[in-house]
Amino acid sequence: MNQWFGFLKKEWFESVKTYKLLLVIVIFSILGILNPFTAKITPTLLEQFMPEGTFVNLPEPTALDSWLQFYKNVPQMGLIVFILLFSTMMSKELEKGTLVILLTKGLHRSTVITAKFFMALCYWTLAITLSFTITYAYTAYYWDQSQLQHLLFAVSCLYVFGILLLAVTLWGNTLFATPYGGTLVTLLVVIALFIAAIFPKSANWNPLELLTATTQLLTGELTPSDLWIPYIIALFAAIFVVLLTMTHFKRKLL
Amino acid sequence: MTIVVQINGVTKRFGDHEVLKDIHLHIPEHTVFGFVGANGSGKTTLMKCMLGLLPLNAGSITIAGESVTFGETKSNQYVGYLPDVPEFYPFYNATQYLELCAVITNMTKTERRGRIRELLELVGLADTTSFISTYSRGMKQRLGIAQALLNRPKLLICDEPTSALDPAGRAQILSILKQAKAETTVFFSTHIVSDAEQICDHVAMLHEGTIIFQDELTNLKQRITGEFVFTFTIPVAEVHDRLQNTPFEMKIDSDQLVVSLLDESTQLAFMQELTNQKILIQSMQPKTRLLEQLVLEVLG
Repeated sequence: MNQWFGFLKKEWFESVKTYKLLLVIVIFSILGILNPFTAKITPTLLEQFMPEGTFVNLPEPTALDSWLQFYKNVPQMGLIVFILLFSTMMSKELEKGTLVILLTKGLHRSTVITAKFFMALCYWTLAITLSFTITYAYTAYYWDQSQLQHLLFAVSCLYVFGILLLAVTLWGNTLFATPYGGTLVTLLVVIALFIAAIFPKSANWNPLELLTATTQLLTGELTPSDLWIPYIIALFAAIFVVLLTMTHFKRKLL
Repeated sequence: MTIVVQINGVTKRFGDHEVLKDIHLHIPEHTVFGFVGANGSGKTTLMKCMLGLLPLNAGSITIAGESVTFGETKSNQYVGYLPDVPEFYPFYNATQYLELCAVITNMTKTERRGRIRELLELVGLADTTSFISTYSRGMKQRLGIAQALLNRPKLLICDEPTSALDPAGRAQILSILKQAKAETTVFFSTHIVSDAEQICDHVAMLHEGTIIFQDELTNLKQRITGEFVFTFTIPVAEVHDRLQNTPFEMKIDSDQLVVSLLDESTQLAFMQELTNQKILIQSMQPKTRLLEQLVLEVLG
């Protein structure tokens, strides 16, 4: 266990020194502020840019609009930036050979994978918590949020989908040992999920539902029980992919 | 003499290319064992096999009685390894890096501090507090040796530790390796034969995946030469003239007479001839050949 915490400490130190902590805090804070801000300012902006004399009857923005911005910005911008930030967590070490000395000192290969995944998971938790808290507080300042349903469950859906993508990125990055390997594999997996989503029946199991069904969750059209299968599948798939990564890394020639 | 490493019939192939062919090597304890060979001869491959970083196609390797297996091998607890280009985390300084290594090797906190200090002093980095990113190649090699010696390994494997260093850096590394012999066995590869000659007790040469020779350095030097170097009480040119009509093969080299005397009967005959001619010997010694010459002969 000492070994695991020792390596985790190194991962933490490295992430701070390479500005990952700073970038995650800055990016996800900006996104948190941006969500209610965009919802609030959009009608005013539209009115400004309409030709003179045009009358547009725009409804007053609500808390739902702010959260719709959250579920648009965080997965589309935040998650992509996050995956890019962590897309070289294995390949950098494999390319440079920094792990060789530690592995020959008795560092378990599974420790490398689990500690790296855990550190990325901590960062993802920080990112989502930060963005969610800021959006929640800022939205509460402007609007009443009592009408919104399943707010926490909806954000946990996004969180779980992010965990799945992180696991896939780590696997691709370990398998191909190149900076683009992880990103490419993640992209292919997302494309595959989108293709599967063309078939309506896939909604019963497709983890992509965790991203697309958040609006219905907030409005109460869907309940958590409608999404438990994709939710569980995403979680188990993430665990399976991490185990797969450990198996691959154990047989990897260094 | 205890044998630390036993390599028996190791063969390693990459696709159709056989890099190591039926290697047999035994490394005695508390020696500096030089592993000589040209670039690309398979030295690094054998070392990686010894560390369990590459799987074998045939044969077996045992280190300190523990069998080496591919992947996570228990035998690595007895090994310290310095790669040819050691890569460290640039955001650490030497002490921080060694602390990480100490945690990985499950060293106790009390043992850690003293050992790190001792090693940093040995490699001359005790007063360096800057980040590793600012280190020169020589400093990185010295830190590499420190980390390799951290857990008092029974075997220190160094892959070309001096190859890219200037003469001063090379001398420092060789001196550290020589000192390390007191507490461990050093197995180091090099293509700089003079380095091996300076500090090694044993030498093996790998050529095209095969061990060409392996022996104690002193034996190697003696067994391949049949030449003797003589000095006399009279000028060497005069001796050369007086012995011109004898059957002995000889030449003058730096005011010394070098005579080829391959067997004992020739040696006795030559001594007899000197006695007959009343030539007094001032000194006589077998001519040792530089290891480099031997290697060049092997390489053709």
